[in-house]
Amino acid sequence: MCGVVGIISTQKPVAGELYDSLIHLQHRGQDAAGIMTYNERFHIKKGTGLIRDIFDEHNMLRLQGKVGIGHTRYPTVGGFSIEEAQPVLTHVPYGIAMAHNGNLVNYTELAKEVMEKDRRHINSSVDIEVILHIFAHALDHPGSNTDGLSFFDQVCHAVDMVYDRVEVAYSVIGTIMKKGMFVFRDPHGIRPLVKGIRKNDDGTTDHIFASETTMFYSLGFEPAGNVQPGEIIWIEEDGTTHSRKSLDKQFTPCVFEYVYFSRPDCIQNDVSVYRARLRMGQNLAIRWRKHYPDIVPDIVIPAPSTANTAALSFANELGVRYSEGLYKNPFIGRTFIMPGNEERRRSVRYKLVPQEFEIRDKNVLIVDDSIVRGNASREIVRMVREFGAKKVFFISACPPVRHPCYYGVDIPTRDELTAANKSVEEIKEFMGVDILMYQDIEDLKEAVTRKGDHNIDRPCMACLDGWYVTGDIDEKTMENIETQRTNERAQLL
Amino acid sequence: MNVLLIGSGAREHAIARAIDNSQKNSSLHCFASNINPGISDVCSGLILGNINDPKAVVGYAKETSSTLAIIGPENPLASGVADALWDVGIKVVGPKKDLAQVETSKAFTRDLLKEYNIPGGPHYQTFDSMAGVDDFLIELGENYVVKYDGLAGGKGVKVAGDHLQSHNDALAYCMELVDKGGEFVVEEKFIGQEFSLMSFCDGETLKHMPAVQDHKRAYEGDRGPNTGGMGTYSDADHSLPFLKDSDIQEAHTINISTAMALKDKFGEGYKGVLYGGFIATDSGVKLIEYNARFGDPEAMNVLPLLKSDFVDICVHIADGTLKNADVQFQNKATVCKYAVPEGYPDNPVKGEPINVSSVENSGGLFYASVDIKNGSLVEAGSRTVAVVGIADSIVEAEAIAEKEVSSVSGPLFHRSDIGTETVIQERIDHMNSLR
Repeated sequence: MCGVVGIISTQKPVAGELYDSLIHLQHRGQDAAGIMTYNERFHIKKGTGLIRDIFDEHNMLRLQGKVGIGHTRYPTVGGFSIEEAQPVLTHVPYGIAMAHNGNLVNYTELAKEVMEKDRRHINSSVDIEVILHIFAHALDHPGSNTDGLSFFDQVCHAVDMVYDRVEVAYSVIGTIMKKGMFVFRDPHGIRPLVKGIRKNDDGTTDHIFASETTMFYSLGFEPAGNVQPGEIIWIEEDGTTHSRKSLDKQFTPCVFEYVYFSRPDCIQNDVSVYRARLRMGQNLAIRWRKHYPDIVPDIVIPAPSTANTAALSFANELGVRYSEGLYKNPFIGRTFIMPGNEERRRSVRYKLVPQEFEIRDKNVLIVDDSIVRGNASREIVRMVREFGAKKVFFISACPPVRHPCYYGVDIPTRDELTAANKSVEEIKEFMGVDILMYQDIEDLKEAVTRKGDHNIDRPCMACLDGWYVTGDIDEKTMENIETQRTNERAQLL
Repeated sequence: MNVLLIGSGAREHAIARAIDNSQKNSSLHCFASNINPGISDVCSGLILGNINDPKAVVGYAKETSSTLAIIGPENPLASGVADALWDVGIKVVGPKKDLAQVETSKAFTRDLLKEYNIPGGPHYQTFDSMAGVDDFLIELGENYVVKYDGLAGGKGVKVAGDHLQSHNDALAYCMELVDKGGEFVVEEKFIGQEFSLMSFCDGETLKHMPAVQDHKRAYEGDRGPNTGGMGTYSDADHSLPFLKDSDIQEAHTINISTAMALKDKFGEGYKGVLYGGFIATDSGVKLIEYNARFGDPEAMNVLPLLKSDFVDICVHIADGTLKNADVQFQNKATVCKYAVPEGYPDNPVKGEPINVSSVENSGGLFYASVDIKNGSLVEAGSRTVAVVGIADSIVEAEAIAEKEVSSVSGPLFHRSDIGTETVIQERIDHMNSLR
């Protein structure tokens, strides 16, 4: 995951707006964050922890310039130290800074190749550094004849080299000193990237690029659609825009953005996340009625907060009362994105409080967005039972997560995935519920793609159906990544 | 206004420049089949895709909120891209599929001219089998042309004396076409001097561009294989040195009559550029063929001379109000020369770097078949770059074009005879000998 944002303005400093943007992207990563701007030189502030703890008046004043990028990190590759925070920077050629949201499947080989063949030093274990060096190397390619090529064409050439060597998954925002801002998105468009514009009084245009549209409204930007899969956009300092894209690859954006990651008020790939979640609830209700026509729960309670939307439409469709029977303390980060498993289990009880009136002596149906490891769900069931529920039904808006994700979501080892190792019946036993029902894969896909003027070929649902769009995930790759990930986690403890 | 350009060759580069020079506050996007550095430099968005796929083009047009589309090449016209764009309310310069038959079907055009008694047509017959071909060839004697009835990228036409040395050659080629399963036309071969006359057309009103002469043969002295066109020139008086005023008038009349005939036949007007390929003969101006778009290289001769606002003209074409449009060209002569890969057109060198940095006037440089490899500009196998010289006379314009094209380095060649005094005098003499 991770959240990225880039703003290029013809008129005003961007640091404040980047900070505001990161606050709006905080849910996409709470591990580390950074802001980089430039005027005559690069200015960078990075740190670990929450946005509000990293930035203060002192360092914000230092972040001068009308062009900048911000990043909030949620680690999928690499550890948790400050070197791993983004944006990252190289001084040759021109001075280039970059941040991204994504995960490179062949990171290890690429890192080796970049160091040995391209003779460039990689100083961290964060995958954006590999992209940065491939890009910089191509832009600086010694002996190439760039006469007759505009700077945009040179940038495109450099991105083409990234596309050649790195197939998925990345949405990158970068700046080149004294020249402007570029963005590009992997050819399958797996990770999101949206764009917005703001007209100035003098006729010039400010541009914003971000993982979500969530901050556009408050900053006065108009949504201007997606950065398309494989597209390269280059904005000069005066706001002049160039873009290039190609129609030759399947557009397979990540389904988990709709299930869990994106904030509901955001339009992702021309599809409203909120509406997609409503449709998930609707499809779940139809499925429930088909399988359990005689069972009507007394109350529908979402596992807050992501599942609220699906639970609402599920309850409406079924004609059952919707209740916020689990209160969530909004001042605690989401459990899914905290490293290490023990910590996660503790924090469910810490941040959720059951409301006894809504639960006691009732047949309770809990709607959750997904069941990844199963621990949080099991804790919720236990809590509801402790508060006197008669029967507990549990439904998941997402089908069983059986396969690891190598495209940017932190579910990398099969050992951790409850559905990879257990049957639905066994999970039901593990969770201690009376009925466990999952969304059907086709129903989920339908919920995401039913409406919206979108160009999605099919969502990437590799974590559900095991179909990896790049086709290069074999057993050996899986084992390598799992070993690497397990080792990195071990270092944390 | 957001404008969408379809196509990405040198012709489209010339169109893109004309749009870029427009006073209308327009933002240009391009639906391209290859990366043209010249186009990508002046447009704010470019997509690579199949330019002949109406759905894909419409999708991009909507995405970019384009309200006007200009179609450069002929193939998208044939596949109905214009129709699809009009269907979603986007104005188009470039005829709909039915009307584009004026280029895509040689037989259609011949029949149209005959039906509407438009002068300039040759004796011809249309065939779909070998029956009668023999007799008709005997009737025509030594002067005949065989044309495949469809788009063949300029390679479907074979001419007696050039490609076909005897009736037996002609019959063999006809057999080939019968086997291919298409119709073909056998027609009288004209003797004279060819020229191109393009007109903006909104369906009713035509506004004409300066006449241009192209050079199809690859090598100097009009020898060697046929190409897409090695170079062109136009004169300051918008005629050509070997033409009489009446020749230009006749060509105008044929273009106008054809546009009227098309409107009558289909009940709607031809909106785009109507490009007549003419030949001046001892018995007046004859029509060789029509094209439904700008010529390449002709576009590079005429568009840089345009004094009026190109986007404005395009809107008038689409709206059917061309009579209100101001269409004026500078009174200058132009010479355009193509640098093409060594071995072109049969065995072209590909992927070799070229260097255009010595070209003095980059505004006269147009990119065609180029690619970017390892950060360098390389030739992609077809006509590579074109340069245009503009001056008061053809001879001066030729000197500029020759100097500029020679300064492009790489494994390339060009025709240094195009537009020279000697060659032009030959043309004049040839015409005089016929009249």
